[in-house]
Amino acid sequence: MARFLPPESFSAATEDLSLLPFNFERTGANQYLVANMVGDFICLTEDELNRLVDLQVRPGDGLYEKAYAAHLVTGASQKAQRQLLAARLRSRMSFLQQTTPLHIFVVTLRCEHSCPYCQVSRQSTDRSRFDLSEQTAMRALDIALASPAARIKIEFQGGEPLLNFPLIRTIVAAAKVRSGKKVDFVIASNLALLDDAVLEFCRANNILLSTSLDGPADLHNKNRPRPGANSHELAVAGIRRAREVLGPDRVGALMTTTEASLNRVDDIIDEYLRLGLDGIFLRPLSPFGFAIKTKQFAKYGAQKWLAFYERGLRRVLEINRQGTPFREFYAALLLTRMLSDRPIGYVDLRSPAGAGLGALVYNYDGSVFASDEGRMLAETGDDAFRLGHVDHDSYNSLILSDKLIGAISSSLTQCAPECSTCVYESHCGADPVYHHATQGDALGIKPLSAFCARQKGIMGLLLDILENSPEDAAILRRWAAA
Amino acid sequence: MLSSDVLKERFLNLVTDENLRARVAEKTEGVRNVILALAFGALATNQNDAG
Repeated sequence: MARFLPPESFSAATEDLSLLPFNFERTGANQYLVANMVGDFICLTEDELNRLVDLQVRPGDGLYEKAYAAHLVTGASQKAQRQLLAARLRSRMSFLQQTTPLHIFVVTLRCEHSCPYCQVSRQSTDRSRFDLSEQTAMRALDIALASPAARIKIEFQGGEPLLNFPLIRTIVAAAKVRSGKKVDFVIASNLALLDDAVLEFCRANNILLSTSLDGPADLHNKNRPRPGANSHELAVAGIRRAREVLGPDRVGALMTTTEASLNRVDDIIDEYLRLGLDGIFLRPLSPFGFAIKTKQFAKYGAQKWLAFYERGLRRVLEINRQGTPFREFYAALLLTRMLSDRPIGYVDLRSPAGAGLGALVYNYDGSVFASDEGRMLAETGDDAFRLGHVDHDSYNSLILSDKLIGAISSSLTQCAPECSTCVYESHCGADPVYHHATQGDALGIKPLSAFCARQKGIMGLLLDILENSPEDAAILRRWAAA
Repeated sequence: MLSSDVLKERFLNLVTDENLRARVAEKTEGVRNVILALAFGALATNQNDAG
């Protein structure tokens, strides 16, 4: 007859204990932040951490229970926690099973804007030289459709892609005819050239629009000059019209932080709110293209940007407390990784890096790059992330190229100096293009990296709010669960 | 500018923490490899095939 075993049968009291892998960081005179192998955080005192490492813990002493619940310690013969950590890790990294889901087609480098921070080094003339040809586009489509992912996204970029709208029509039609996959489409446009024909085409083909909105009119127009000085007026009109025709969730906007934005975060957020957008992505400038040539990138450092970000996040939380749901999308992405095991393969924040494995970029001249930033570098003469050309390469030759494998393997955070022992490693990523651009090395020296400072700063801020501000923590948890 | 006492304290903390990291790595290297093998190795492949 079956019966319950006595309680001690379930205890590790008499069993040898075994330490499980973890990372830590000193956060105060006597305080440490500790993260287990899948990035669950707890705080320990210095004495607790030393006792844990020496395995001077036993059931009933409080620290054992704390460490056991956080998967920092287990019974030497227990398999369950190791299996649980492995299952969670496999789930978190399962985005790797969907290889190259994003394909970016640069249909033209021409643009009618002249933004001083333009990271792609747009051109204003010479259609024949800076437009993607149909023949080249079809070869690029062959490569995109050869990627193993069952569902891919084709994103049209520029320059201003609507300057070559006929080619977008051709590519969409061809992809639908030739594909055995589910294909989603996005046009990244400043919307200045948006008209009813474009909108009708987007509606008929279920195409998303992604645009730039840097804030209120004076700031946006300063950041994004064009003839007529009406970039903001056209962007706002385009967003409104697109929401009417395509639906409120079919158009998104991104902002870029310039020096002029640093004291305006409340105004920027209020502009997004005024337009009925459901959130904002607070983004720093990237070190590419005209942002370097015009010295825009050098005008503020990581600490100034973090102050801007914190003020913005707190303003967004205040809006939520007042009853309006509104998210900061980068925080939402990080929170999803910190508070769940969902696989988040965001190409700019993952390890192995998203270059090539997450996205391929087909430039207007047929060159193929490992990332959008890689083609931006090439416009200023650096071909470090040019993987090949659509005329000479296949999907396999691009993905298995020595250049891509070298960049990805040399930048893995899981085994990189500083990163491999970083308490935030589970939620961070490798950015070989950024570090190549700023330090001349795909791995980078992380104590000198603004990328590293920004990620650590944001995650530290989020943990502080989760720990110390219950009302705001509840809002952040909702973002992670969305 | 940081004082010499603050710099000294920072340096000692850095050395203490790096020593602790080395001890943790030494004690957990084996189990880390077991977990990685369970997550991404042949067993994981078989489970995916079965599923």
